[in-house]
Amino acid sequence: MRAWQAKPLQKLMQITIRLYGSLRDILPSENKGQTRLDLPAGSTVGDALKKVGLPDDGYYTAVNGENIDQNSRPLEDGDYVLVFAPAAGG
Amino acid sequence: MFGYTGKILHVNLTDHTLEIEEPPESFYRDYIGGSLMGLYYLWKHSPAEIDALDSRNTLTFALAGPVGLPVSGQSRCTATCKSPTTGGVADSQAGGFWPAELKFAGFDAIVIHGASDTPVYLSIIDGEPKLHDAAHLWGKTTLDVDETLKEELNDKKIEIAQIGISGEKLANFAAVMNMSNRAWGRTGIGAVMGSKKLKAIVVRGSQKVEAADKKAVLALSKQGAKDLEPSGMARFGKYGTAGSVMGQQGGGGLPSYNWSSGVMETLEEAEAISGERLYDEILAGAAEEKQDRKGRDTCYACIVRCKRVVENEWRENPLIPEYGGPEYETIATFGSYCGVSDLHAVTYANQLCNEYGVDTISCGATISWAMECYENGVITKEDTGGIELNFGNAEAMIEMLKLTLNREGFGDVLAEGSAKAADRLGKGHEYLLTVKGQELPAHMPHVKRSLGLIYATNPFGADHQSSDHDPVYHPKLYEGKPGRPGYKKFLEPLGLTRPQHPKVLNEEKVEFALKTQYTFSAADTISVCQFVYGSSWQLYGPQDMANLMEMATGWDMSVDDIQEIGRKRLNLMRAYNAREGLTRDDDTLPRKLLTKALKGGRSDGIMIEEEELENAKNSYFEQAGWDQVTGNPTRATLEAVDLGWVADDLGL
Ligand code: SF4
Repeated sequence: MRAWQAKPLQKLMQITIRLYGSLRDILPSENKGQTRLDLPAGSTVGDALKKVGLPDDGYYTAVNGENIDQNSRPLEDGDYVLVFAPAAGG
Repeated sequence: MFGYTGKILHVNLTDHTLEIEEPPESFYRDYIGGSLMGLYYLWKHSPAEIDALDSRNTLTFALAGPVGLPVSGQSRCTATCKSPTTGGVADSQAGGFWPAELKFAGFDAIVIHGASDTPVYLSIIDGEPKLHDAAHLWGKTTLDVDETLKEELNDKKIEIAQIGISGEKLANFAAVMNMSNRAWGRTGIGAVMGSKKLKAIVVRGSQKVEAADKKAVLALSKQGAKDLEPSGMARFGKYGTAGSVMGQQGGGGLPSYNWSSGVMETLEEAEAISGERLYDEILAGAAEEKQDRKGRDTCYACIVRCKRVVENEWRENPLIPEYGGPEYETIATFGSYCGVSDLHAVTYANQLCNEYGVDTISCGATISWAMECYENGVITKEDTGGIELNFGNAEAMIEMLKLTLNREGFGDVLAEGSAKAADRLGKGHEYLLTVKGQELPAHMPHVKRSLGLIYATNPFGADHQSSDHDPVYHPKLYEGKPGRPGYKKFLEPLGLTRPQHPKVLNEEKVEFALKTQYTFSAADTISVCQFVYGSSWQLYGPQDMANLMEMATGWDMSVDDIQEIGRKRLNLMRAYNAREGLTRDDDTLPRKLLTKALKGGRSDGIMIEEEELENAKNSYFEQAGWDQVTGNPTRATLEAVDLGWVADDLGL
């Protein structure tokens, strides 16, 4: 009989994401655009965007106040991610 | 004929006569309505190279077939004349209920000739036009005039287009207002109407608009209602254009401190003037979380409801719902341009502008120009009459605005607009943000490169609603993702298949600018709202614009036909400017943008390269079929858009 092998528990981290402008209504309105996300360790900014249902590129993002050019940038536990939608006219 | 009333009212203010023209259907097919029709009358009735405030300047308010139908985004009207700001064509659109009501009153357009010696107003009630004395309205603010006329004509449902006190005083950026909160804002049309001593145009009627295919119009309407949520347009309606403040800040595209930076210094300052903040705190009903019901307004039959209604106060000055709330542009010009992060003050500035009738873009940008002059010692307290006009000083901004609206003290200089003010003072030119004499709107070509080309070349000055903006052509946003379709859906039918990054300005991007410019140009002619039918807004799109025009008129319409309509209007505008003496040399950007890099945020260090702009112009003129040296349409191009007679007139 084969010994039962435990799968290693997937390590999670928690980040905070804030969506600006009309993007904020992707989340329930009481959130006012901000929520915590549990993501597997090693997740990137792009993964966080996907998790809230956005394309992983084409939006402006910042992590802990610093503008990010590559959404492949890995996140760390406790990071604060800001997401801004580029504006068209109006 | 379907869609149209078949009647055009000619008003001669010099001798106070009225005449009704009933053009054949072929005229409507050739000149459609809106901007294109207005340009036709301007060309035919005004001699070349007159001063814009000359009585011979012809001012037209024109609609097209779809206006007044029960579907979103059709109540738009274009005003056209020669511009006192640019010396070229003046062209501006407004929505609200007035455009549809003009159709119900029985007319497709009003063409105003001459000038009256004394103030008058025009009423058109159920097909009956009449001129009235307006001495009692002269000097009154917009809301006051609205209330007086409703009482006088004993009808609360009349719709009123009017100039405010600033139009009477011929301020260079005077607007024509309707509902006291919608504006034909840009290019100084209010000053032209003021020079004619025409205070207001009242419309009211019950004539139905006959669509060629009523059922199809209803089906389109139903489709819109179904798509409102999934398309994201419900969210646009919720925050209005103000919802884009933070996106601009995040991208380094929020013009701040008279365009010295693309960001407000701190994120908190930008958040303080954001559309979210406006929604949460200042919209009517915010205290009870009933903003969606009380704090939003619309245009005739539009389900998007993107207009703001405010109810609050700034330093004991009430913020009155009737004056509406600030759009993104206004938040930027009175907020970030001036470094002011007090949204209540910005909302109050918006109210004052609507009360006196001025373009919030040019007016706010003129004040931010004066602020930069003040910060650099170019103007001093002696000039300003003691006002400390530093960036960020909300009280000083409001003080200076009041002086400008009343043309008192230094405000009399600023009412000329920044370009003429700099000339009058003989200084401050290095801080100007003007193209063809008109101030820049609040989208930055540093981060949306094709806008620089359009700002430089657009016939009525730098404009943010004359073409689509670069981010929608970003490869990822173009493609979208499953469940969230990208902009490809709308751009591909226009022949735009080569998406590019926002910060490049190559041939593909020039193609994007020109082809979307045709689409926007068509919207301004067919008289539909760009937020509903433009190429990047998702409720309807260019195909629906073609369909709607076909439903309204019964004429066959494809997306290509729409593009051709837009192309014809753009060519006629450009030809008009050529007639008035403008050339490629006028197609440039403010020196400041070409010589000073931005500071801070995501656009830190970016400057517009003159060589890049000139190369883009070459490519643009070539793609448009215009002469490389003059930038003017050639005979071949004019003939291709059925404007051979224009080439004849120009002696080409
Ligand atoms: S989208 Fe907004 S501006 Fe356009 S018609 Fe509708 S309410 Fe008016």
